[in-house]
Amino acid sequence: MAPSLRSNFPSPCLGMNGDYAIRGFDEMFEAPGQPRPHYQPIFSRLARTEPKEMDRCLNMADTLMRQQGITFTVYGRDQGVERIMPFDPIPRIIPASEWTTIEKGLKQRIRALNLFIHDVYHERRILRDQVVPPELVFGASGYRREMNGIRVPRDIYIHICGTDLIRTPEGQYLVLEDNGRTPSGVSYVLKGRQVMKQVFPSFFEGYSVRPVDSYASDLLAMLKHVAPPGVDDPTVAVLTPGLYNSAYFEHSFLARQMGVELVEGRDLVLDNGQIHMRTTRGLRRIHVLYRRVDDEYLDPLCFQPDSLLGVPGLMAAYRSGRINLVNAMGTGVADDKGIYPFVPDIIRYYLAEDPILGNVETFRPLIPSHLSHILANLDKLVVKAVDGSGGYGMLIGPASTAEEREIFRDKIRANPRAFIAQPTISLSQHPTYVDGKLSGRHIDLRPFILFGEEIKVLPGGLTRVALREGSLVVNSSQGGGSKDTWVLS
Amino acid sequence: MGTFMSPTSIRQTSRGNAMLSRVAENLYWLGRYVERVETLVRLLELSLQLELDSSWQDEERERPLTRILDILSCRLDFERNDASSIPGDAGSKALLKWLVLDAENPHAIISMVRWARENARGTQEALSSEAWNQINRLHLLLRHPRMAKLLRVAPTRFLDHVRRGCILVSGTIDASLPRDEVFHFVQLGRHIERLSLTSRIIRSTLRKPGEVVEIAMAKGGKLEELITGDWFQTSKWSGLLHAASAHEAYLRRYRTEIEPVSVLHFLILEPAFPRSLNFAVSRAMTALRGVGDSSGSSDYPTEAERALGRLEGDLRYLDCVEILESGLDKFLGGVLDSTAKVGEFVSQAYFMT
Repeated sequence: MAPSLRSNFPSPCLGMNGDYAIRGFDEMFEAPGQPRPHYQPIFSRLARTEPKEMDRCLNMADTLMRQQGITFTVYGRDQGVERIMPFDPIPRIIPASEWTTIEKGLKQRIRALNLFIHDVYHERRILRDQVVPPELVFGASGYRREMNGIRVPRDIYIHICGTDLIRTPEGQYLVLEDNGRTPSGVSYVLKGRQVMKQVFPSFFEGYSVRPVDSYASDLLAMLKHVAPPGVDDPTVAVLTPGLYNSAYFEHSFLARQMGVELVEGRDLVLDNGQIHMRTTRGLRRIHVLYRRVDDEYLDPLCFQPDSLLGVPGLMAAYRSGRINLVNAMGTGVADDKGIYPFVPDIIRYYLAEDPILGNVETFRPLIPSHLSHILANLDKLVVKAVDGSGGYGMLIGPASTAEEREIFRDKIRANPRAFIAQPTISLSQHPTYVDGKLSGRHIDLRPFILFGEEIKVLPGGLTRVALREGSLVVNSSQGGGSKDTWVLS
Repeated sequence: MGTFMSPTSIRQTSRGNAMLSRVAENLYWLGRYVERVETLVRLLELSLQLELDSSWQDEERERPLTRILDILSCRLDFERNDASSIPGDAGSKALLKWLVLDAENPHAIISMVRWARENARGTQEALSSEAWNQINRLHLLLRHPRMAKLLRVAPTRFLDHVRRGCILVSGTIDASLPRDEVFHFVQLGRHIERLSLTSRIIRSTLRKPGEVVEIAMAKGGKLEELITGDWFQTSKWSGLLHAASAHEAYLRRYRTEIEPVSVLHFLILEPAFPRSLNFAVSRAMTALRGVGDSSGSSDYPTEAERALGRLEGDLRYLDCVEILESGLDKFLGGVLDSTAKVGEFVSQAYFMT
């Protein structure tokens, strides 16, 4: 309505308040008080919204999620408390042109990673050509010997990928991590959008937002596409570790949206070399298992013998091609922290293309020049153990003591293969509703990619926001929240 | 292939309804818990009213609330609890709290709702979202900090909230679930539970604390002789009708004063009253026929079907005189035994594949 917004908003509304600080890349503001063009409509809307109204709506959103049981379980003192993920109502908006690049980059990456995994478990050309050091592949905790020489349907290994993206201070998107095992969070994307539409319908005015609701049917189509050869009407099921898993809501939500069974290990049985579920009408064969159980718990005969989550004999059925697992067994070799620095080379090697999305700069102690750089700059770098479970931990340089750095110096020298180092990452910030006003909070982005007959990227993804001021930790288990993510058409 | 159904899609329709045994079991128990909570709420509402009457004090009978302990067979559990030693009205409040909000007590409403919710949570993808939503809301309601206070100051309002919650749960289940196995397993649980609870309620009316009072009539004996006995005071029978929410329906049906044999007939044999044993058994039978592989095997009924069918036959074709001739308490005991057996057979046939 009014051309000059600043003079127009009465103080109690949610405009750009005086103490809003821009640090790094701000998604909404180019400069103080100056929203980027694609944020203009929502900015004007916020400038007309009172905190009281906002609180009322947020309360409603909270109640909606709690009543629907959209919760995750936090492991704590008394065996798991159900919490809802805090939801921030101010959407993150990505213009169409920006998204086109992200989408292309993600497709390129998942294609290359799949070729890489296939190669690792078959000819190993990339190792012979010395593009990736073999010891990193065979030493990766996600490498599965059992997969050598096994053909998987359509040669697809990572069917579902959740790739974590961050933005540099210049606004460039970089890949922080590929999650090619059992990435979670997509249910929050779908539910978050539903809640937004119900509670904040006016925010959508002036925007044409690409819908996300075809995800479940795309997922089902993909799962059916990768059924064992010769099965024309495959039965699909989702395998969950059970009620007390932190992502149980998501497992059950996806099963319901696809109209397939949600099974636990104890529902499944090996019979005649095939995997069946126990139903009220006897055994029924399963052809494709969207498993949300980690590799090492899938089959007590092959891996953790005390695992109650898995199915004895599942690996045998899988290896003989009678059932397909999604994602495949052994994809952890591709999203390993030790392999990560090589992904740009992997893309060039298999696709003969330049990577569209870059990596965060990563130093490897195995390379002498990198090692000296790391040791000289420990106070500025983040050092990560390649195999997080190895008990080596992590060093955040700027927050470390001289003593801690000394310990890591020795550890790195003693076992250079076990670490990588990165500059302290920078996350972009986004206006977030905190205590009745807008404040900048750090965010990242996890888009979801499906690899079936074609590669589909869900428009948007999960924007996670670090709700504590200045914090870079966006994990939901540590006080992170989420935002609806809009891709404009 | 033109517009004809391909063989694949035909196969899909015919096998469409098989469901996971674990899910079936969850649904069955969901039905049982929901039914038990609803009944318990009703019994509590009635008992609270009776507590206010003077009659039970004059006659030195037990507190009306304690009768619920017998219906749920949890008197011993309560006696082990500290709350049982509190005398007087404070004792009543303590018992009420134990029966409603004591999360340590497996028979309390709050625990049963939690189990119902756990069962529903494990089967969300089979239930409708609306039904899951309502169960979850009831669970959250009971855990709301304000509710503990409400139970202290206005127990009837508290129970009213819970009763509405229950109605919403069963209402959404009725209104939103397709009539396939999911629905039938919930219904089977509900009506098995109803059979057992209604039998226990009738039985508890007839028993004195600690002793069984059998009402039996010699073969060819006279009904009138029984009716004049001590056990046939009208107040007892109207209380029973209230406990089964049958008071108004009974009056509309008989249009006379409350008369013991008619009450028994109404609660045990009346086919049209939803809380009668006859009604519950016929609904349980419908549900049982709707689950499992009902296609080719109808000539050979399952064990569960046979046990339930015998009970259904009894409840459909016996009359009150025959029941009294065999002894009322014994008859009700028989109903409870058959019900338990049906439960076991169902579990063997469908939950332990």
